[in-house]
Amino acid sequence: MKFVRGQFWRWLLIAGSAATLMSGCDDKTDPDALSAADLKSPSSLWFMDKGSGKVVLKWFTSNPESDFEGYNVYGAKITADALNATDGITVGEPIKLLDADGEPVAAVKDTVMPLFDYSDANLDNALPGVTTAIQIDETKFATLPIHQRNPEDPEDPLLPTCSPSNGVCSVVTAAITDPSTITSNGVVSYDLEESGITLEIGTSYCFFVLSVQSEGAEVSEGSSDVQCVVPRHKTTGSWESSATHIVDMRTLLTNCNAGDCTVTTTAGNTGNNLFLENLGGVLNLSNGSTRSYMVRRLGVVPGGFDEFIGKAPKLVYDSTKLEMGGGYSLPGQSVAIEPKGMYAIAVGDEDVTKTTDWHYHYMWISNDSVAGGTKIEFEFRLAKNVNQL
Amino acid sequence: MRRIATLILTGFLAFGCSDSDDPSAESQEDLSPPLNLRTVTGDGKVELRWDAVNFEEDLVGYHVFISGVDKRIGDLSAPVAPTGVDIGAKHTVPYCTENAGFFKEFGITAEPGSACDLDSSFTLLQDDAAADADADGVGVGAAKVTCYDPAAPDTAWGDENISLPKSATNTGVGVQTCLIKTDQNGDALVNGKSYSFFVVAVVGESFDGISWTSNVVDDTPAKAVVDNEGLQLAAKKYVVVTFDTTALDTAITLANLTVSDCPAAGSTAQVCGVSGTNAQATDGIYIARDNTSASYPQRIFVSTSTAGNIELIYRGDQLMDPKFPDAITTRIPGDEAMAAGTYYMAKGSQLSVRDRMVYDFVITVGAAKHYGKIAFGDVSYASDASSIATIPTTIVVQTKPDTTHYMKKTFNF
Repeated sequence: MKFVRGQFWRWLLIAGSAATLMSGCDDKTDPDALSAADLKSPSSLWFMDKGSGKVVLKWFTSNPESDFEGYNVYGAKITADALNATDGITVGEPIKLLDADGEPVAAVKDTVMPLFDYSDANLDNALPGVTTAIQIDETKFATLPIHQRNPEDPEDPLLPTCSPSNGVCSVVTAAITDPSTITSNGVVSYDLEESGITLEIGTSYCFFVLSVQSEGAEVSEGSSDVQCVVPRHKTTGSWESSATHIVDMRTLLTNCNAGDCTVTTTAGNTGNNLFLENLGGVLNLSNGSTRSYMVRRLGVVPGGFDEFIGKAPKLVYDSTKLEMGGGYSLPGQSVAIEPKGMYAIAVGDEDVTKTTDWHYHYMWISNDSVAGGTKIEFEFRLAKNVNQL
Repeated sequence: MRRIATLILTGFLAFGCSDSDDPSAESQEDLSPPLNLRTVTGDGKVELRWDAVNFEEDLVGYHVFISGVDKRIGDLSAPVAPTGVDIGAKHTVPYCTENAGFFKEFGITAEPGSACDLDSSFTLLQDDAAADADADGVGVGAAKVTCYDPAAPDTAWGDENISLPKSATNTGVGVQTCLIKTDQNGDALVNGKSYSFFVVAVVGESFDGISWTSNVVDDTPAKAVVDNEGLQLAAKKYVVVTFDTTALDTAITLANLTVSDCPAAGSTAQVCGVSGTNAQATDGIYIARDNTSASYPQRIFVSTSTAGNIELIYRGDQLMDPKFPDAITTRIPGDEAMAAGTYYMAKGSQLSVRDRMVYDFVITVGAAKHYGKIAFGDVSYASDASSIATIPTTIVVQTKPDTTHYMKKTFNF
């Protein structure tokens, strides 16, 4: 055997809990970390924000190993800044479980992993639903990924978190008996909702993924990238483009935060609002010339938010410039409405000259074509927090 | 152990032993195939990129195979399942008897094992009698094409043994790059002609082990008819870029275009304002300075005429190229044009231009659709917003009808 074995989680047991001593240990609770030559790690990691706290994770895979079973997904309620201030982890990069000598990286095992413990004992960082949807023996398994409990053995966590097939990583709900049929090449997706997890809008969560094989007894020494997401509100609306209407997005956000995301369009083009304009048959987004709505086109995205992985650039307002920093329209400048077009809409809190913080919302036009007189269907993802890109 | 067994079995079935001309195929568990092969279209060139997870200690590099039969993938014989690599389209493992026709397009004979299944062995042999009179044929090592350095196109990376050797640049892990300039016969790639590619990983000092194939991709080199020329355009002026539909790759010099005054605000043939429709008689792509608002003289518009046969769509920004961080590319590798008849803006629509924006367009010539791209760099002004603007512009057109691949054109700032 040429792979490096690192008894990565043996420390968990050594750290000592009474439960460990009572129940003993097995390979699943003390997995070996294998080198990349023997178990390839996931790579990248990104999110599809379905809105309303429903988030899908996606990552890139190449796992033809004969014992490969699936992926452990680790999540924590924590900010990117907090993680970046922690030794052993950097948002946007993978975690390395082992050092060059094949030994566990102390900072990772002592500090990083406990942050991601899927346990109701992990009060500061626990994912929503962990205390009710999932039952685990947190004293026995101090750092477990998102998982289901084996109904035939309540002390046994079902690992891995999910097992892939045709690009979808489905929650493991029964012990895997034949890993030889499981392989994965390309992008896979895992829907947190399948594990009963709905995230809180406006709260930051961070995730990473490990590859798993041999009934959970072996994991990849490298993780996917660590990435963070702050879920947004989802809402949809439409506009009869025979006339000009407005949307008051400040009020919309306030209402969404209170639980009602109904979009109201009102005839006219007044006030500090988003204008849906029909300028002689040409359809545009704009705002009054002294107002604080600025629009940035992000290109055509045929699949809408299901395939959108971009981020709005940061708006740098400067009244002396010909164009706002980040490529946003000037106040009052019109931007064409395009079919399947994605837009970033930066909304200031008050008069533009006094605004320092912006809400960056996304708007997607779902029409296959647009013209004056057609009904324009659109969908929003609204940021609860200011300066969230 | 499985790999050793494969080697022995393959060698036994083929010629008794493995060498660079007669490599053995490793299972995907033992040697990871290249993944997510994609192309970046060039002028007489095609850049290949793929994702690699080749941690194998004996990896020596990659073989790249090209088919120059001027067919896109859909026109080639489709590879047969089983498919072990399922990224994108047309993936294959090259050992099925049924795939013989497909590999023949690449000058290769697939010598199959006993069955078209995951445990079969196979051998690839060059099937080009003109290239070698040896009745036994020559191996895939001779059938490959050479990779060049995309950042220094005169520098060959490959040699007679391997298309792309493992190196500090192409380590076998992460994104690998390979610029193709010639076909399998050593002839320069031709603009407007389609080529198909696949890649295999290679192990062993004697290049005697190869992986299953990557997915198969195609591309069609295309010329930039406008190559990052700075269009000089005064306020309230416009130009129209017209194309010779009988010779779409005819070079265009923006400085030679006629500069016209913008129509008056409110004109029914407006090309210089967000309000109005371009109903000009000339068929072409209009680039215009604002004429309708005293507040925003710096605004620039791009449009096509309602009377013409060109449609436009905004596709996003030029992006920093992750492989070449100092370069900004006008397309994402592997990107395809939006098909005509989908989301293009209605002709006559006027779209605003900002720094580094990229637009796709499609020109209808009879029943044929020709796809192109117009990309703008950072706009600068001679003095204030009403002064002459310099608009860096690149335009690429595919001369081959219905070819949706694009160019790579970088702006280096």
